[in-house]
Amino acid sequence: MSRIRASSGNRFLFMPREYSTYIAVAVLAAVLLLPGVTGLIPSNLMRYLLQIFLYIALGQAWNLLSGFAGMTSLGQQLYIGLAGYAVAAATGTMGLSPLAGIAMGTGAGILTALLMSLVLFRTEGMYFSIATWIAAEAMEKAFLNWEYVGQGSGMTVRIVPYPSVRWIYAASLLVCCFSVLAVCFVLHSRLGLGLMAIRDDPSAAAASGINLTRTKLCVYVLAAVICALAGSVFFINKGTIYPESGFSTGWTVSSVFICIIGGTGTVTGPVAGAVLYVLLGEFLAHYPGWSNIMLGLVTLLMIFFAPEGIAGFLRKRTGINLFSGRRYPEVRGERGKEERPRGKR
Amino acid sequence: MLQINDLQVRYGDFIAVDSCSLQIDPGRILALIGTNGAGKTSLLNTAAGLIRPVSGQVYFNSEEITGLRADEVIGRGLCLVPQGGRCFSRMSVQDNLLVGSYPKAARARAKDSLEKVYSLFPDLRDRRSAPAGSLSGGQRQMVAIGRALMSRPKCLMFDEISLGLAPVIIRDLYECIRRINREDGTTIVLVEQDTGRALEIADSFAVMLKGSVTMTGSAADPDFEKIKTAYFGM
Amino acid sequence: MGILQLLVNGILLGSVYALLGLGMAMIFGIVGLTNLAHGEFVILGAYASTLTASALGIDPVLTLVFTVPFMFLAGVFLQLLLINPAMDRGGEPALLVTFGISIILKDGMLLLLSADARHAASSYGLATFHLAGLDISVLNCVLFLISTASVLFLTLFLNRTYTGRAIRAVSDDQQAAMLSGINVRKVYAVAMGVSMATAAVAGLCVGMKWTFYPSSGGQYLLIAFIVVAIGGMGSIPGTMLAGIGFGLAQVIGGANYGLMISYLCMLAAMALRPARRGRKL
Repeated sequence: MSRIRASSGNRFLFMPREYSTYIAVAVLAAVLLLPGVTGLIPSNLMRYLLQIFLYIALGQAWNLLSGFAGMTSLGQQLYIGLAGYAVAAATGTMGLSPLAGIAMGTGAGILTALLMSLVLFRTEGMYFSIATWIAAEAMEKAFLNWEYVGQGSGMTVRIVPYPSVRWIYAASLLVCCFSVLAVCFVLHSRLGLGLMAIRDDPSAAAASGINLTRTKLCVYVLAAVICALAGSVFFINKGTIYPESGFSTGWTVSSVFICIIGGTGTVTGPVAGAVLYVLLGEFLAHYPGWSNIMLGLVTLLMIFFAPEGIAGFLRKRTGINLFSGRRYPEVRGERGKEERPRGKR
Repeated sequence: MLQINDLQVRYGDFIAVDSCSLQIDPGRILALIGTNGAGKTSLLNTAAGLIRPVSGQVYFNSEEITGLRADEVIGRGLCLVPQGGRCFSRMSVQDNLLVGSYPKAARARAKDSLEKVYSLFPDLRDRRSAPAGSLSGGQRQMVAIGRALMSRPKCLMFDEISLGLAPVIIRDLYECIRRINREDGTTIVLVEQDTGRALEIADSFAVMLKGSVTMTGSAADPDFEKIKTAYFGM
Repeated sequence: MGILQLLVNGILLGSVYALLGLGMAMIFGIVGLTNLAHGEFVILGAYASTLTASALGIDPVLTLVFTVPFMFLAGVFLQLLLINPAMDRGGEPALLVTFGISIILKDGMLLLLSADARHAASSYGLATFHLAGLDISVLNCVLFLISTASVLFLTLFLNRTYTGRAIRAVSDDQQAAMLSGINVRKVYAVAMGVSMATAAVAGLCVGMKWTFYPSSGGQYLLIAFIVVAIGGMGSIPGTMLAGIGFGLAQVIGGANYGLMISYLCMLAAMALRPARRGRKL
């Protein structure tokens, strides 16, 4: 038995909850964008902030797939690396502008996502996770041997003049806002309702007339677009890309970590997670070798002591829910002893 | 032998068993009857250690076993044959039976017990290396009973063994239960929906309704009018 | 190289991959958990063997006497202390616990053992012999023997002992297993111990055959994943075949494209396989 209670959410100027979320995001974005563009924020701080923005986007993408749709992907680095290479190729080899590079990266992401869906959607559950990971690994091996992209030594992003920190800051912020708004929009739409039905019981969802393939495809492509956008901006900021960095499983590790500490299945979760991830990474940079160990320990502690993540923890304590993902009812089944004897899986 | 005091079992907000008390003497057969959803299965599962009750106690051989794990309950000699048999369908019949003697105390006598089960159910001896999933419903029920016997129980609880089986097979199974009771002196709790058949073999009976026992009595001269009232609550 | 030569190399290698997959399948089939730390367990086994062998000056194969019991106990305690409590909270927390263990182990090894490439050298590492016109590496044969013996040993354990039967019973119907007097948590712990013991053996094979780093775990986790996904959960013959298939695809693909071709083959196999896979032990 579970008690279902619609999340109370925050009401902004007595507007429906959905609109208040969009306005909150827009106001926040404007507040962050203006001082960045006008140069009020020191560039050092801007570099941290833009990292946070990009990781928020990655977290949103992973959360959309795993937390909302139950499609746990271990291979989103496929789109991050692909977009990074597309930017490098467009700007360096073809001499296009960085914006064109980002567009190319996103286009490549969409195309690949559509192609991949033909293979991936034939698998389910753990098999889906494995298949996404295999695909990313295969792509890395292909790029390691492909002369056009410089094989193992990779490519350099060549743009003259190179985009300023402010430019990259603004781009990251836009990517981040896009990801948050897109995820909110999906959750508020009929698609979101279908998604959660699929996550909880695919067969029952299909029996209720939800088109499984189309719903999953929309979400998968959207997640790919977010990853591609974030990936292209990330590698413009970084300047170089090679197979091990572009297609690194580290991307998945950080996305997963961000969602766990933030709280899966909420829109606020990845935001909180990304902030903590970048801050923690910065703090731990002074203790080389310890950073991932600490991240692992934090993960274990979170699972045992704050399983709903920071977002859930805050919501429980303060009732604040910044970006409402409506239709995420708080289902707290009493995980008591009566559920212990699980049957066959 | 088995004594249940004022037991309450809940699934979330739903109360399945409520202030339920029951007692059975050693060596007897008790029929526990009642409609669908009366709480019979929940009561048995709680006694067997699958579910932890909210309140109340379960005593077995005057020792409190409330809240013990299923394996600890079986180690003390109280064993449940669950609804539908529940064989390990991918394991052979003999392996299924041998799993039953997993409790340390039963292992030494495993060979002995196996021989006994085969003499009780000759069908199983012929099919001992077949996977249990390939058996018929009646044979699966035999495997489940056999598996329970392998643990050398002092008290056996059967949860609707007749469910979905042909009348001839049910008769044979009931005959076997009677033999188990007579030859080993094993105490038996029999959950049934079919009142008439259960009363034929039982010494005493208890009727459950909405989570509590509404009537108990001797099966020798049942008052069917009173049973009907207790059964349906009218 | 002739086709027969490729075939022999592929089969000899494939047995190691099968062993990798088997440890993973144990946990998936019995505990119902995707163990993201399995790759790190394998690398841990590889380090344990390499370091013990060089410290005692013995052949790496002999180190199994130490590493297998050590890893078995580590697995038992890991399950009892961390994973069982996490599983009480549901499937996702348990999965994330293995994720946490994996990154802690990886960077812990990096911190303590440095990022240098390691290799468990043996006196017969480069020796070959000729048989019916084929060049056969002695090392490959040793690895084949070790992994096949482990698989056989495991099969016997599962079929002939009370604990083995209890493990199979739990993977078949958990509730019925509880009603047969089996302590499911204890069985989980033993299964994790056995799984880590196979990781110790697989790690020895990996260490003797290739060089490895603290960060190599991911690659072997992926291979284990693939073998399990193709071979069917917990089916020992299926796992053997899948491992050999992976080995063959890699050998045929050659040094540059080998892994990529294996990955693509496996991806295709996963997409084309029927959706329902039996779990059998």
